[in-house]
Amino acid sequence: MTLNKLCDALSGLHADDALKERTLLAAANAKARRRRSIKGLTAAAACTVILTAAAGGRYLYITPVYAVSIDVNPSIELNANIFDRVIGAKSYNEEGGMILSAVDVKNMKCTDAINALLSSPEMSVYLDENADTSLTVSGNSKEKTMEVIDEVSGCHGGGARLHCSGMSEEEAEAARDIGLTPGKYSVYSALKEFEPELTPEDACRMSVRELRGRLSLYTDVQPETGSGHGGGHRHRHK
Amino acid sequence: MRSDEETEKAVNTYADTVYRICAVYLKERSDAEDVFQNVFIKHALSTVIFKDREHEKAWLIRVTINECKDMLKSSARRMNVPLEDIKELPAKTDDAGDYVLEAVRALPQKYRDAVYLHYYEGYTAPEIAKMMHTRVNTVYTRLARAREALRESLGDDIE
Repeated sequence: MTLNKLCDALSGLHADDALKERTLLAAANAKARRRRSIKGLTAAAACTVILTAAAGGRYLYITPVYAVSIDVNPSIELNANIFDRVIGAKSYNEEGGMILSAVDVKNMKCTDAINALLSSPEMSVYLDENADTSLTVSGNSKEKTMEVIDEVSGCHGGGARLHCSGMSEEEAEAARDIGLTPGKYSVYSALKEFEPELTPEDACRMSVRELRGRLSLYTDVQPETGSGHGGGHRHRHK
Repeated sequence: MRSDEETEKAVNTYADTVYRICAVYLKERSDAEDVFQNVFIKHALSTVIFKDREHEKAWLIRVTINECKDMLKSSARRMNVPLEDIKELPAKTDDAGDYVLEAVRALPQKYRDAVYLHYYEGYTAPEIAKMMHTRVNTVYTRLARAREALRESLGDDIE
């Protein structure tokens, strides 16, 4: 059987003594260097720290800290840095791609970017009083996620009902693994328990309203109707 | 930082585990050896207090996988390495085994973790999920997809 062959192949692999010896020597040298650097913090080293901090500023700017997925039927995910600036935007379906090609949100403040997308003419065709707009915040920090949820809940839903929620980064990653935004993933996961044949591709094509509508057939979750914004806050940070 | 004795004990105990993970991820011997050294250097410099041997082993596995992924990213940026300079990791001299190992290396990175940890190390899906900071269902999905991908590439019973 193939997996037995894999186990046999791996069992035949060993780290040889020469590699182990070199590794022990490298580890000893690394420890010696670490001891020296702790002992002697010179002015030159202090300057290095300052220069590294300056370079670190750029690193901070380009490092994503949280993501906000915007789902109506266009599905878009924005990545934001510690300064709440959009540093990346990705579409998850064709409709989302069309919106992003018309609206450049890079380097915008995250809430401004969301408002710009939701109020764009390209998005307006999907937004009416019966539509649902889902904003889902995901990141490693629960505190930051909650903070961002509060901020984005003030965004304009473009005429559709706005639902804001949060998700842990690991769950968000699971969503991205199967090609869904975190926003659609939460509804998709719940619906899949009742409709096991539902695929991520199906969910990608459906609007949030359609998914919630289907789910309401099996649960007490009711698809909200009417316009307005500031829907429920549901946080799934683990 | 750990003592020289602790480092030596870790190398002697876990060298093969670390080396095999490198084999699953990396084809080039030099990359695998770099990762191998980096892992134990990190172990030597780390201040993590291990609760028990299993905790230590899980830590080393995670660090090795992360180092392999970093190595793959930096390898992708290296270009024009002469073929004669590339020495490949030898597998057991069994063509069928080499073929299977190649098929595993061709899997997406996240599937390789699950395949190695489950089918070789014997970790359960919940244990893998905890080790890799992911959900249990995600691990099951990755194992299922890995089996499917291996079935497609090897055209064999894979259990």
